[in-house]
Amino acid sequence: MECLESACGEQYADVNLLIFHASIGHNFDDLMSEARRLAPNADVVAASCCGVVGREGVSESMKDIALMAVRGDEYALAFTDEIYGHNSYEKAKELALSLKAQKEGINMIYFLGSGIDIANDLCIKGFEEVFGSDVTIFGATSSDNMRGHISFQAANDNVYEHGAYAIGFCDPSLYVDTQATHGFIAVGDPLTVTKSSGHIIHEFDGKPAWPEYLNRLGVDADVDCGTTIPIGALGEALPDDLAKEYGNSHLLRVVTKFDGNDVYYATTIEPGTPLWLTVRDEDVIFSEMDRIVKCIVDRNPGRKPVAVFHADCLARGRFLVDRILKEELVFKMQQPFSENGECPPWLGMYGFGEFARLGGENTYHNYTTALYVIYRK
Amino acid sequence: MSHLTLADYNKLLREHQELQLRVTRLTYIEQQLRLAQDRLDHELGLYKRLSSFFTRLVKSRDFDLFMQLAVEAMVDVLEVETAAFLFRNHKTGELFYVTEGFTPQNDGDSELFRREIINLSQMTLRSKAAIIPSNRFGLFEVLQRFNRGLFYHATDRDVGISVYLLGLISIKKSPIYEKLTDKHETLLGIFAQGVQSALVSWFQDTVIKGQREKIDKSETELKRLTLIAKTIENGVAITASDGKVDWTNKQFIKLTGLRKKDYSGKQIGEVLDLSPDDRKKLEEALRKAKNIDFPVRYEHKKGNCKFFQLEVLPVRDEEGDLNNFILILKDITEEARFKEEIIRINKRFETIAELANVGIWEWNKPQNSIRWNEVLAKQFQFDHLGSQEMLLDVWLNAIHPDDKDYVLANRQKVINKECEKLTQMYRVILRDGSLRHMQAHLQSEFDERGEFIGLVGSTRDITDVVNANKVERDSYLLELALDRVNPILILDAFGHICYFNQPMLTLTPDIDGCKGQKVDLNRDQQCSISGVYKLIATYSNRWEDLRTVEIPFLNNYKAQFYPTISARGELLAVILISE
Repeated sequence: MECLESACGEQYADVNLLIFHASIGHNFDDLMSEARRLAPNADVVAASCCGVVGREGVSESMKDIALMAVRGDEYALAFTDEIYGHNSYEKAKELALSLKAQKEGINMIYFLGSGIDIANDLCIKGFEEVFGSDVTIFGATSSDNMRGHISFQAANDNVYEHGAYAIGFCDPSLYVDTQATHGFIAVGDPLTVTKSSGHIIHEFDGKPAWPEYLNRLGVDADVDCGTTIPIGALGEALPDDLAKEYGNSHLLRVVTKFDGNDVYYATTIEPGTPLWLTVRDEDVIFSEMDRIVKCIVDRNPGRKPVAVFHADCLARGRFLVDRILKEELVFKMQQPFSENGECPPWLGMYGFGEFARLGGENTYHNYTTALYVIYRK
Repeated sequence: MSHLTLADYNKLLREHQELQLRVTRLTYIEQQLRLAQDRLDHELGLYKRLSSFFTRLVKSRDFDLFMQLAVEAMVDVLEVETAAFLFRNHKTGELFYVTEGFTPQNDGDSELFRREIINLSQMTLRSKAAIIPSNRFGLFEVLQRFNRGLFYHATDRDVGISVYLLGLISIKKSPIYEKLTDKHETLLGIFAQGVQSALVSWFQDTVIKGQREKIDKSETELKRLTLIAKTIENGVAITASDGKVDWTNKQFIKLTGLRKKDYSGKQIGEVLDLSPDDRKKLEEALRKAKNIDFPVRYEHKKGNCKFFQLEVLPVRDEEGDLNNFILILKDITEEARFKEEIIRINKRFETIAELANVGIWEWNKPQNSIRWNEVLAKQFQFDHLGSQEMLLDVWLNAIHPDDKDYVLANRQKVINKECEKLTQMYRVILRDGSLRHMQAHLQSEFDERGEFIGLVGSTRDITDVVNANKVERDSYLLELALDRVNPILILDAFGHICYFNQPMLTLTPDIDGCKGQKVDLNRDQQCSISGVYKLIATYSNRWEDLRTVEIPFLNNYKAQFYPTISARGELLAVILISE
């Protein structure tokens, strides 16, 4: 209730849509039933994460919560359970068809799916097949606190561990501008995928994938994803034009699951693809953050954001830099969108992955800060 | 120019691979350093949360909020999934219990969980924050859902409180929670000490505050009572628990005529000049420390006799121990004399009533008692010393069967407040078989709140009067009955229409269908039948004065008013219109 009052004042009971991000310590069944009790007429969606970002800044305890409240009915909501890497395309298309059936004129889709065992490029494909590539897909994948053990997604009376929800916005006067950035530099020789199926990598350089990955990372053979995620970002080389826009020559991918020797990649991966290990560069992180914020502001001169959604990789959040730097980073991204010191409605989360356009295409990212700034035309 | 041999190539390749590993290992070591930095940073964050909690705790003045803050802080600071806080106040026996993040699976779960926390305290050291050994969880029905936990319990015997703090991580959620270590024990230890200190301080503050409030209240009360005691008209004396006089107000001195040296430090029972019986009552009340309120006769020093209402109030402390007595003397001399006068007047009235041959009786409803005089007993041939139940039986049996319903209905009218008083006549058949005519007056009595409390009444045997007039009255009625020309109207003692003939109906059509009702025949004219009602009322109290009166009727007529008595002994008003 305190959270609802803080976001909506005393009139929280009559909002139409509540979007919650809650850190993993929450009981999502309790959270959803309480939200539905307090705002009985609203659609309620939620996802687990490793920390939240709001107007007030960063919060990363086991029980943090943040929300964005929406008034008005210019949206459609669809949700699904049992989404995995092997059926990501079908499930995303099913969501897209449901959205399209509910409302005409959807021009942007906020998508939030499971962060474990999912092929996010296929999710994009599923949505684009229904709505075309002009519809912007933005959002994130849910997470735990970087254990790669479990993540939650919830919609109205349903709480899922392998689900997804999608919100299609259809107010023709609104549009979203997106951009993502990381600050990692590729090092050394790449690991080459020599055997894969879909989003699962079986071999690197002709050797079992998971052991070889750990070997290249220089960590013990019995570690889990909690150890590898912060240091194990894998980079895919980008063409020069995209590299220029991206501010980096590599697009990063995270490994959130392994099964035996198999590595679960975040998107479909073809044999022969070289993947680079990467190292962080804090100077690049800060300079690139400044650059993308400036790009967004420059692309929308004189406009005041209606709201900002923000997805950040948990490996950049809790486990990347210390708290002071993190707060400074968040301040640097919020300040340019603020007016008279007041930050627009802001909902951010530390998850496993982010969606944002790159080269004009809907693209899935990892280890980035992705900003989704909604403007009125 | 030299060529690269195969051996050189292989060496270079090995060195290159070694370099690659060094690069990634450097990354890993760098990450380990960062993680260590993060852990310290995070730990610092937890201590900051702890500090923030203590700041809020200090400001908290509401106990429920305090408990809620504590469990929320445990979840936040210890980074556990579930927290429970139990607090027992040994002095009051109250048990407070708050949880955060605990989802009961059925109705009894919450209560069972609370009991298990107390049972767990039997297996763990007091005043030490500790990680719960994993084999403990399996011993409990609710706790077995968890596999990691921290526990602290302590008792402060001086203040009389026990505190139980428990942080838990469920089996289901344990993969996403950090392993509990000595860091958590340290955090819980600091947290628990802070909570316990705050509770002790809070309770001592509450006790002190309560005592201060009591003192303030007592002081205010004392001032108020002193002011009242000084200013009231009653005499007030305060004695010690042994009955020795400590303090009196001026009025006490004035009422008793005593001087301070006469009573100061002496037993109140010895000081007051009471009759032996009254003194005995007072001394017994003091000895048994009981509240008593009774009238006493007091021989004033100046020689005149006074009457007091003496009230003895024992005053006890919160533990029930006797502190002192307050004696209040209310001067009721005037009331006592007035009462004596009333008794004297009553006796005189009873004598007069007896001489006038008027039977009187009184029914007190709250006490359910009936009093009557000897005349009444004689009228109904009843033994004056018989029981009131017998009197009632004799009276009810004596009423003429034709009159009984009417007599009882009239009595009920008075009881139901339909009328405050009434006079009626009825016949009685006495034990010796004689028929007597009784004129009875009945009146209800009410207390100050308007509640009915009883009836008083009188009876006169008017048989002789009735018989003396009977012949004349009967001849009137016969004459009237035969007279079919002149308009005739007959009313009862209450003014209800009993009979009218056709000429009267022709003259006053308003009365058509109004038999049994009281009707104002001439609402718009000055000379109305209300005059007749007044006459009826006059005669209803003086039957012996029955006589014919000429009255104006409907402006243009002259009428004769013949008061008469029916065969049932009722007063009837007969109005005959002459030409």
